[in-house]
Formats: sequence, structure tokens, C-alpha cells
Amino acid sequence: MKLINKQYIVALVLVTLFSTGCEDFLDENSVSYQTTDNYYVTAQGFEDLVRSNYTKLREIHKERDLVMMGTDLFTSLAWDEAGSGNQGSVLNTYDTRFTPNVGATTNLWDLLYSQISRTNTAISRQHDVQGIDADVLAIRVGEAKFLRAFAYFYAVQQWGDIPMPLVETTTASREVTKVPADQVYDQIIKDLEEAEAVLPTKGNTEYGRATKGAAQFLLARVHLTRGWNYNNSLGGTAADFDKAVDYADMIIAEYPLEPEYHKLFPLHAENPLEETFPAQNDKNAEIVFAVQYSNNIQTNGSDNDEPSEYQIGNDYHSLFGGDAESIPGSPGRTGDYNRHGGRNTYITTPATYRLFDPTLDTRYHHNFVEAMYALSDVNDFVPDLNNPGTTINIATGDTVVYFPPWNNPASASDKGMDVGGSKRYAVLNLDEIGINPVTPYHIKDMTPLMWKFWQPGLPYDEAQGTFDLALFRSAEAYLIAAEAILKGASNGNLGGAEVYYNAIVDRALGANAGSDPLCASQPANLSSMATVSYRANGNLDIDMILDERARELMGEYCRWYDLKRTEKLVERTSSMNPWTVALGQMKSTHYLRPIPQKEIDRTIPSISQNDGY
Amino acid sequence: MIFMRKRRLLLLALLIGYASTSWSQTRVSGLVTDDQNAPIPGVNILVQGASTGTVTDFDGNYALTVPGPDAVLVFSSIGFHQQNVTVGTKSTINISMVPDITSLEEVVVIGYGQVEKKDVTGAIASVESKDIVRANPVQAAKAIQGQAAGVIVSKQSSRPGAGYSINIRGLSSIDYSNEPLVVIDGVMGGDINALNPADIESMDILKDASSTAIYGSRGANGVIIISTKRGSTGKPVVSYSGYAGVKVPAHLPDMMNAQQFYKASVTDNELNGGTSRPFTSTEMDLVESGRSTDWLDEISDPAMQTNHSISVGGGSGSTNYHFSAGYLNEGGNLKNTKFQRYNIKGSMDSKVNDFLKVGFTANYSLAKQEMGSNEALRSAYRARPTGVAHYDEVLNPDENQELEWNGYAAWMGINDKQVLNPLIEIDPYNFQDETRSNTFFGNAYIELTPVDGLSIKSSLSASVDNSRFGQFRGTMTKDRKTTLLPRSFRQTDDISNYTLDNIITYNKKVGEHDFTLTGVQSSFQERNEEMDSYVDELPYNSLWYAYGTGRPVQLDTRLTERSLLSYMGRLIYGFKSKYILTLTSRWDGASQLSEGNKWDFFPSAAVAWRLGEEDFINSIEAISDMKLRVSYGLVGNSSVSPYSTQARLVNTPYDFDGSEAYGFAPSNLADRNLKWEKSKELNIGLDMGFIKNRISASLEVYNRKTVDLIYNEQIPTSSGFSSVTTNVGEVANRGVELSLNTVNVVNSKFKWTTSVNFARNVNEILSIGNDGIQADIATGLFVGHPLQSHYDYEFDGIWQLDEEEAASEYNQVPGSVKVVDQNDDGQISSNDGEDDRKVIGSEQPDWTMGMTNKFTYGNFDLSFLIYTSQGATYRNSMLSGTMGEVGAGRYNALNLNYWTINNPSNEYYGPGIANNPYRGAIFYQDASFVRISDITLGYTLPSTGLDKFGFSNFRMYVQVSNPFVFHDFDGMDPEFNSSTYNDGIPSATYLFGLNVSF
Repeated sequence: MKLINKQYIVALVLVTLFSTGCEDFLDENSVSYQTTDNYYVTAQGFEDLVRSNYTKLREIHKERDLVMMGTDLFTSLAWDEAGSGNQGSVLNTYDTRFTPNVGATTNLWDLLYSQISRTNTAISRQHDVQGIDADVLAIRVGEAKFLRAFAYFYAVQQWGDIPMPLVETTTASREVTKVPADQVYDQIIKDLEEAEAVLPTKGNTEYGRATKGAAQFLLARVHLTRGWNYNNSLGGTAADFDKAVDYADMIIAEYPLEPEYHKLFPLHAENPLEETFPAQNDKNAEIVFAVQYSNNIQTNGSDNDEPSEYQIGNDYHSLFGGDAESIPGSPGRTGDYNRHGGRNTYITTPATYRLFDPTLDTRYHHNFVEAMYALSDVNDFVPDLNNPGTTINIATGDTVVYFPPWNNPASASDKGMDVGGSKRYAVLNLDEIGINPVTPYHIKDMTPLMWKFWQPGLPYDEAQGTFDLALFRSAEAYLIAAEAILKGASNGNLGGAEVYYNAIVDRALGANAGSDPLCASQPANLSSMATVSYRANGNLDIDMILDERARELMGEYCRWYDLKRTEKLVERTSSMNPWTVALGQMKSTHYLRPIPQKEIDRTIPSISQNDGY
Repeated sequence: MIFMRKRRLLLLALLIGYASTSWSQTRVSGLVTDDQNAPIPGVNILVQGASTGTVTDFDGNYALTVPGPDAVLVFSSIGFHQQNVTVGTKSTINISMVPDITSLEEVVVIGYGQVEKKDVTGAIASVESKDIVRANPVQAAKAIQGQAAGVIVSKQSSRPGAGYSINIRGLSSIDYSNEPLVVIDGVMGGDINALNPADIESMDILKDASSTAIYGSRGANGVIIISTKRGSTGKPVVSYSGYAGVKVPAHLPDMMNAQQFYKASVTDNELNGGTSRPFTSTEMDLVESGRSTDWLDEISDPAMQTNHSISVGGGSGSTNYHFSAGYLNEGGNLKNTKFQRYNIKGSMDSKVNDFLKVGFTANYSLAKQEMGSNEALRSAYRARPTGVAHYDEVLNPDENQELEWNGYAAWMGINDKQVLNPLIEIDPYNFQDETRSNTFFGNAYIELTPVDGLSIKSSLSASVDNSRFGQFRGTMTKDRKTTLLPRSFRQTDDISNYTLDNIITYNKKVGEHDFTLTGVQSSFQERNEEMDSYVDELPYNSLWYAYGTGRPVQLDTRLTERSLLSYMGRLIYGFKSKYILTLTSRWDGASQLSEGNKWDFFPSAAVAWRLGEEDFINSIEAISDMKLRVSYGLVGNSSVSPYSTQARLVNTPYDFDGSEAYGFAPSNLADRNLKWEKSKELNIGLDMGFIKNRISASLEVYNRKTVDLIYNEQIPTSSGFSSVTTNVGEVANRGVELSLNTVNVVNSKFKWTTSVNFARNVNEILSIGNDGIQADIATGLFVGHPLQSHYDYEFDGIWQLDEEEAASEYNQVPGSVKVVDQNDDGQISSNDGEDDRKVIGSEQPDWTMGMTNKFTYGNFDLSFLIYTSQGATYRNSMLSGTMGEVGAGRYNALNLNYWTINNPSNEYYGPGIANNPYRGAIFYQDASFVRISDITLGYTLPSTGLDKFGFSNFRMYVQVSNPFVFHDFDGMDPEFNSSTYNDGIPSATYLFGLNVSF
């Protein structure tokens, strides 16, 4: 009997254990993750959502291949090898490899639509936020609309007719509809006008957020672009040019020009040995809107789930040409001369140097390295491999490579010892850069560095640049107004197109304001030394404006859009970009980018490809 | 002879003496032999219904005491039929055991229970202890390789301590794990790599859905049930097994030497019209003097591999025990790589009284894996053979701004700064990568048998797996560019789970009817705490032990939890021992599925007909056994990550004028209707034995269809998201498996047995998406083709000089890769409607086969295992990486038969050839291989030499692992598609080992 009792007790315990299935055993309660549904309904959550909309600006503006490459200003190296083994970058050759699979088109597409989705989430969720001040909410929604319009503006210029989702994506669908470009422009202008109405003026919100001025500036650009009415597809009219001038004048009134051009960019010495590491100021009054960067590595990157190439700060300081680590006296892999791990991919086309007056225009001096110096001693250096018996000693600070200005090339005797000349340094005339053979002084295909954005004091291969990247500044508003007036607008506050245009030229001339700066009259013909003044004097045309935009805004994330808007892309690139010239395959279909193959593959039914791809 | 007999008597006397000290009434002794009259050592002899027993000694002798004349002795040994003998009045009982070549009487663990192999109704493969011991694997998973039909076990890396991937009967999941569930002593989801292989008694692999249905949602990819050794009643048996040996680099890819590299990069490059890179004077000196640097050789060394395992098992009274300890040290051939593991295991089972039994098992493992520098290995493949290792070998250091470190030349005398001297990179001062892990898993149970045939069991299993990963990169690494301060990454994972199973089993025999009813309630909960941190600007080389001194770059912690609740029932019904029916059903609820879809029902049924017991088969002399099995079942898969049905947020950094401006953005699109992925499988099996079971064979045919596949569907990115985890599509796996065991020769001195297993699986996507689409190029899914298919242009050789005109029509030139213009429209295009790409093979093999041959001659044994995988296609990672860029001159490359204007090769394109747009088509290669996995030669000491030392078994052996592999794959071993980064150096191992028991 006792035995039986024991058995019952044990059985009872087991039966109790059987009934462990509580009601909430299978509930998911994530501690680590917030969800859209529980977080965005709070004021803090909604603020965080809108802040996240800004982060994508960094990634979008690091995805710059489609904006700078394949234009008249930037190319890739070794164009002289076209047809003899080197295929070059397809972004410049525009050959058969320029297909819907080109990575750059996919990358930019993905980023822009990711940003559009994020801004749509903010706009869609505005009505459910609890406990937020109504005015603050309106401003935040205005910011999201500004950022959405900005992303759509890039996308519609690149691809023409595009999908245009305007509400938050909450369920997956593979059905996608392309919307005609003119409707996209209508939406962009609607968003921007709504944003402009509620956004605070500068100084009345956190620096770096979208302001009324930012919306006005973008409206100026959008109207200018729609006014040109690419291929009669944008719904533009003459009134667009008037509006462009109106908005440009608002910017000009509110954001004064910086008197000294170089102060808009990181301050640095011309010779690394004389660097003083000055305090940087990226809040110039001329700047309307900029991608923010800081010296806090924790906040300088991008979304945690984005690839590493975006997880960096401002890397514009390290993109533009030249290879400084192979010159004599270079300590190898250092941050001097700004050689940063493989990112020196944007090579200035030779013709671009010829757009500047090297003497009068301060922008030439600021933009380009004209001489490079030995940063350490080199003994028993053999300047000429054919003459190994002759050695020289190079001391720290000695010039080792010199790039004469385009209008004053060195003669044979004034060239370096490496090629039989007399100079103890290499001399590379403009018609040799990018195609020169290797010598003991430099690698093959040496080009002068474009160090407009160079920030000193950053370690080698660190792309943690801290200087804000200006996207809108009022100098461009002057050039927008000049272009709009040239196209027929008559409402400029300052006067005619040339007044606006010459204001920018004169700012660049600095102490020489008022003089006649000379550029090559045939920039692409490297052997021609013929010159022409680029001061407007009754002769302003669209090419002069594009030349001036090249000089003023070089590298500032707008070139391809400028060329596309003015329908000068094929003409100018086919004459100035050596790779494009060599292949001769660029054609009018390249005014639109291919819709990424990935997107076509994923849509059901497949959305249509742009013509020619 | 007399001498021997005397000693035997002495031993017998000792045994009897030993036995006499305990309680005794009747003494029985005898000799156990096989059908050839050879003594069998190690035969288990148990007194039925009591807890006493013994084992035969090395000469087959035994002696034990029994309670009385009614006692029944049960003689059992693996490979022989069990025999029961009533003692009666006899004091000497000699037994001749009948060999059971098919081992049909073996017990098979089927999950929440076990059945005799003859009663199995599903498709189950078993790997026994002796096969595991024979293969000497570092990881238990390797012991399955080539042993079980339809179970593909593949190496994932050549690094020491690396795990294996296991796949049973083809792939069904696209984005989620296809790994089977591993159940170790009842602990579900156990880590097979944490086990000491020597502790394993058996591994039973449940393949078909009816067998795995007992594990419901967790059984979709098959189940491997591992039972570790437990003690058996009798005197303690101490066993030692150990080996020591050397591991040497083997089967390395053929890379270019300095002269070949120069010829490809300069001579042939220019011959083909290309332009070459300049070489420094140091490089030219090597090229011209016939010297060359073999960087792979520089960074590799032969390594030691040692293992010691010792165990003691036994039992007395009502308690049995088994304890073991193991130590493994596997060196790596890449310098500074090593894997060390300590294992401790203990188990005990005790009958408290007539109706209560308790027991536990505890496993603890401590492991350290040092990976060395992954960059060093890649750099060794990339570094030019024209470089030099030491600074004083550089002829003119100014020529390339050479940098010295510890006597090494950082840039190897080469004027290029992309590859750092691998010898610097690999120095532990500069680079370290180390994972330390502590794993515990254990199980305790209490079992109640209140009435005969009824068992109520509660079992609690727990598992804790804590690991810390640290990776340090010092200044002198490629990553830190020789100028930046060190950086370090540290990650910890604390995974713990428990499973509580309550099991009721009732067994009843009524006449010719035999019922076993099982009911289970099971709850499972798991939590995973992770932390990762990353700092840079460390002022000194402090590994990951001084994070306060650096600059924090990243700090993140995560908690992931999931739970599963299950109710299960099973009926096994046997009639006349001829007809067996198994019905299983399980209800599972999983936390990570959407609200309303968490629960589902997984039923299965199986029947077996033991034809061999029927007269019409029994009368056929040649057929000694036959069984037909048919099963059908439904299982689920919820391997999707927790929180997949929630739209989670991701932290975004930004700043406004230098002030922090963190935000939160949506990180994924949630499918709020996510439900179970299900597999339905029909399995037909036939087990046969011929000629007194000298030949036995099993044939399985199956058809499995997986529906509602959970996968990350790629969606248009214009939605703002690139994928969504959802239920889409169907995949089928159809196949046939054949296992064959033969005794080819057997006589008193010599025996030769062969085991062969063959499997062919046809994997096919039946549908993707909901809209009847046939192809998803973006994700590489094509209806009618297998998963992991490649889609690209088809390689068609190299354009030759006499094809210049044809080549130019495709904008190409001689020497470039020719691809097939599939639609003959005169152009190569990937555009819709004119796409020339096609499916060119899958990474899944067409068929696999394993064969083990064992020979014994006297005291010698010899065995070898061959296995093969045929028909898989890989996009060769080495060819598609820098090692395939023949003639580019920047990095070293594979020594391939490339095209030049003087060498009209059709194998590889020419260096220096302009315009080679379809180069990618050349990367797809057949990854079929045949491997001799190991050859083992052993010698067992005759018992005469052992007795005086007290040993019951003493075997010595030599073994060579991985001596040969045959394939046509350029570069690495095709078992896995190594890209050299995150890998080790392929090797062969030569071992000497001992197995000793006393």
C-alpha cells in the first residue's frame, strides 16, 4: 500500500510537469529590437525616423560614379591603352559592356529607393504619432518631403520614367508601375512647395536639417531642369525658367557669397611639409545645405546593415587621381598627398585643366597639385634607368614631380633627368599626364592630384573625413539664374545673365577681379595653345556656363545632371573624355541610364527597359 | 601450450575469485566461439532480469555467478545473433555464436524510444562505434562521411577544428539551414562538434519523413540521433585510445613560379598585344637567376596531431556508470593555427527500486581554435613569386620604398603596396584570431514503471554554449597598412537552451499482437545573447584585452529568444512479428511564426512487411531475409530567424553640426502571415539478405516535396526593400539509395568485407513565387532545375586566330573567352527575350558513393574508405579571384594552359587580351572527385602477450588520412569551393595509434 502511494506521488509530479504549456509560452517579445508599429507612434520614435532619413544622404552622395564618371570632367586611367589590352571603365567607354548590369546603376537605384521608402514611412505615419507638438510634426514631415523630392529628382534625371511609390511599403509586391517623368516632376514640385511652406529659415532649426532655403534652392534646380524639358518629356514650360530665377534670387539674398573661394573647402597647405593643420570651418554662410560629417567616428558612418564602403566619413578628400606613394621620398603608405587605399579613381580629363586660367583663376591653384615634394631623403637615386651610373641625392622638401600649367609647357631641355632633360625632378606636360610611361620618379599614368577637398591630418586609408559635403551653395544659384535668363527668363533681381555669371568669375579671380581670364579656346585639342577669355561680354552661351560650372563646382556631385539637363552630355563627353573619344560609342541613348536588370528580373510583369539597352 | 593453459586457468581462478567475493550461489563458466570455432572476446553475458553480467576475455572465456538453475544467460555481441541459454544444472556452458552479417537484430534509436532493427519501418542508417573509431575523425561528423547512403557530409574549410556540413537527401530550404537536427543523448540541437568522437556508441540517421515526424517541425532536414557510451553491468572496463601523427600540406593548387609568372605577365602578355607592369631589379634578379619564392611553402609547416581518450565504464548492483576524458590537439599547416579540445563526460543510470529509475549524462567540452591570419593565406597565394622574404635580399630598397620589419621585407622588393609580406602578416605579434568555447550539455531523467509495460519518463535536457571570438590586427598588416594603430574585434555568444520532455510509453503483447504506444509532451526554449565590440587606435599590441585604451568604433548587444511547444503520439503495432505499422503525429507551435500560424499538425504512417518470415520466401534457399517498407509523412521546418514576422528597426548614425543625431529606420519588411514550411515524403524500402546474410542490401526510393518554402524572396528594390522572408514555392527531392554489405571471403585466417552505399538525388524546383513565373534570375531560381543552379553564359572555348572574323562579329578578339550564342542571333546579350545565358549546372551532386573495404588476416587488419561525389558544378572561387587573372602581373596566378598567339589553347584565355567581356563563363567547373579518405593498417596483439600486463585488448595501427584525391578542378580540392580567404591549407595526415582495454 505504501508502495502504491509513492507511485501516485511520482505520477502526480510527472502529470504536473506535463501541463507546462502556458498561454504565453510562444509569444515573441523582442527586447533588442523596436518595431515600426510600437516605436514610430511615439514622438521620440517619429523624430528618430525623420533623423534616419538624413543618413541616406551620405550613402547616396558616396555613390558618385553615375554623376562624375563618363562626363567631360572625369575619367579613368590609361586611355592610351584603349584597343591594346586595357578595356577601361565602362562608365567612360560607353561600350557594349554598358548594360543594365552595370553595378553603379544598381547601387544608386537601390539607395535612392531606400531613401524614398524611408521618407514615405515618415510621411505615411505622421497621423499616428502621439504626444508630438503639431508644429514640430509639420516641420518634420516637411523635411521628409524635401528629402523624398531630392531622391526622386536624382532618380527621374537618371532613368526617366520610374516607379513612384508615395506611401510606406508594408507588404511585399512584385508588381511595379513606371510613372511618366512629367508626373514625377509634378510630384517633386508639389513636395518641395509643401516643404518650403513649413520649413524654418536658416538659424531657426538644427544646423544640417532641411530649411526653407534648401527647399527653395532645390526648387530652383528642379524648375531649371524642367524648363529645359529634356526630350519634351518633363512637362516643362518657359514659366519654369522664371521660377528658377525667382528661387535663385531668394537664395542669393539670403546666403552671401564667400569672398575667398578656397575657404569653402578644407584648409590645407600646398606642401605637406609646411602643413599647419588649421582648424576647419565647414559652416560657410554661402552654404545652403550640406551632408553632415563630424569627428565622432560613432556618428560619421551609415546604417549598421549597409556595406562597409558606406561605413565611413566623408571620403571626398581621397578620390581624385594621382599616385603619390610611388614618388621618390614618399614614405610609402602615408596620408600625405592624400593617397587613400585605392580610392583615387576619379581622374581629371586633360581638357579640364585647360578650362582654367592657371595664373588668374584662384580655383586652378586651389584645385590642383602643381608640384610634389620629397617627404624624406633618398640617396643614390638613379633618375634614368638607361644610365644607372648617374645617381643623385634627393633631400626632404626637394621637388620631385612638377606639372607645368597647360599654357606654359616645358621644353625638352627643361624636362627631368629621367627623360634626358636637365631637371632633378620629373616634368610632366599636360599632354603627357595620364598616359606617361613609368620612370624612376613616378608610376605609369601619373596625373596631378585634384585636391580641392583634401583634408590634412587624416591617417592613411582612413576615409573618416570630417568636413561637411556642401550640396547647395549660393554660387550655384548665380549660375542657375544666369542659365535660366539665358533660356528666356527676364526677372533677375541683379540684372541680366552675364551679371550673375561674372559675379562668380570675379569671386574666383580674387584680387584680379575684373580682368579677363583666359582658357583654351579648344580645350579638347591638347596641342592648341589658342586662348579665349571666359569673362562674359555679350557672348554668354550655354557652353560658357557649363565651363564655368566645371570650374566652380568641379567634383560637387552635379556634373552629369548639368550635362544631361542642357543636352550637352554626348557632345562634351565625346570630345573631352579621352576614353569616350577613343571608343567613339557614346550615343543619345546614354542620356538615360538602363533600369537595373535586377529590378526588371524581380518585377512581375517585368517593367520595360529604357530604349537602347 | 601447457604454459598458455596454465595462465588461462590462473586468470579464470582470479575471475572466479573476484566473483566469489560478491554474493553467489552457482558458478558458470565457458568458452564463446564463432562459427569457425575462433574465440570471441568482448561478448556481453547478462543474467536475464537481473543486473549481473560479465564479458568474455580475450580468449573468449567467461565465468560468472548466477542466482540459480532457472537463470537465463543472454549472450550478445555486435555482429552476432543474440543467444539465450537457461543454466539448468550445467556449470560449463560453451556457446557458438551465429554471425549476423546484417545485424538486423541491432537496436535502432528512433527518437523517444528504440526498436529492433528488424522492426524498423522507416529509412534509417546507422554508424557504429567501431566505424567511428576506425576513421579517427577530429569531428564526429566526419565519421559519417561516405558511410550512409544519401547523407552528404562535406568539409567547409581546411582549418583545424573546422566543422562539416551535413545534408540528408538533397536541399529543400533556399535561404535557411539544410542541416539535420542532431539529438545527443536526448539533447535536441546538440553541437556535434563539441563531442569527443570516442564517446559515441552509435549514430542513427533518420532520413524519411515518417521517421523524423516524431521530431515534427525540427525534423524536416533529417535527424541524427547520437547515443554516447554508457556503462554496463560487470567489472569496470578501462579503455584508452590515442594517436599521434603528423599532418603535412597536400593537394595544393599549382601556382606559377617566378619564371612562369614573368613569362605570363610580360613575355606572353606583350606577345598577345598587352602592356606589362615593370618589375624591380630584385624581381628581375630572381627571374633571371632561376630562383623563385614559394610563399605558400614559407607560411606553412608540418603540424602535429594528437589525441588521447580514456574511459571507464562498468556497473554494480543496480547502478551503471561511464566516465571519460579526452584531449585533442590538431595543429594546422598554416603557421600559428591550432585546435585544442578537452572533453569530459559522465553518465550514470540507477534503478532506485522496482519501479523507479533515474539517470543523467553530462558532457563538457573546452575548445580553443586559433585561426592564424586569413589575410596571410590569401596574401601567400597572391604574392608574386618574384618577391623576396628578407630585407637583405632586396637589391635596392629605395626603388620600391622598401620597409623592414624584423628582418623581413614588408613589400618583398616589389613596387606595389597591395600585398604585405605574408611572413609578416602571419606573425602572431601582428595578427591573431582565436575562438574559445565552453560547451556543456546534459540530461537527467526520472522513469517510472508502475505496472509492467508502462513507462512514464520525464527528461530535462540543458545545453549551454559560450564562446568568445577575438581578432586582432596590428600595425604591420595589410589591414592596418603598416601605418595605422592596431584594431581589434571581440564577440561573445552565450547560447543556452533547455528541453523538457514528458514521455509515456505503454507496451503490451496480446497473443500475436504487439502494441507500443508513446505519448510525448515537449517544451523547448532557447536564448542567444550576443555582444560584439570593435575598437581601433589601440596604442600597443594588447589583443582584445585592453579595449579601454583604444577608440570605440562599435559596441552592440543582442538577445534572441525562441520557443517551441509540442505534443506527440505514436503507435507501433506488430502482428505475428511479420507486419509492423507505425503511426506518428505531432502538433508543434513555434514562436517565430506569425500569430495564428504558430501551430501545425504533422502526421505520418509507415508499414513494414517481413517477407522473409513468409513461407514462400523462406523456402527460397538463397534468400535469407527480406523486408518491405512503405512510409508517408509530413514534417515541418521553422528554421526561420526569430522576429522575422516583425518590422524591426535599425539604428542609423548622423550628426547635426557635430551633435549626435542617431535615428531608427525600418530594417526589414515583415510577412505577417509567415507559416510553416512543410515537407511530404513517400519512402519505399526493401531490405534483403542473401546466402545466409553474407550479402545484405537495402534499397530506398523516395519522393519528397517541400511546399510553402520559407525563403527570402527577392523583391523589386523600388519598394525600398530587397527581400522579404515569406512562404513561396515548392521543391522536390526524388532519389534512390542503395546500401550493400558483402562478406567476400571468410575463412579461419582471412576475411574480406565490403560496404558500399550509393545515392542519387534529383533536386528540382517545382514553383517559385505565386504568379507562375518560371525563373528568378536575380536569386538564381529556375523552375525545373535544382537549387544552387548557376545561370550564366556557356563557355565555348577560346577564340582562335583563324576565327578572328567571327570573333569580331561579337566585338571580340582571338584569345578571349568564347561563349555560346544560344539563340544564334549574332550577338551575346542578357536582355529579356534575347538572353544567351542558361542554367549551367548546380552545386548539388548528381550522385555520391562511399565504399569501405576491410581485410583481416590473423591479427592484422587493413581497411580503406573511398568516397566520391559526381556532377556538382562550382563557380571556381580561385579562378574568379585574382588567382585566375593570368598574366595581369599584379598577383600570382594558377599555372594554367593559357592561350597565346603561339599556343592555341582552348582551356584558358590569353594574358594581355583586350576586350574579354565573357571571362566569367570560364569559371564554372565540374567539381566531381574521388577521394581515398583513409587507409588503416592495424595489428592486434595476441592474447598470450597481453595477459601478464592485464590487458584485454591491445591494438596498434598506422593510418594515412586523405592520401589521394582525383579531380579535374583547377585550384583547390573541390569538396568545397575554397577562395583561400578564411581557409586553411589542405593536408594529409599520417598517424600511429593505440587502442587498449583492461
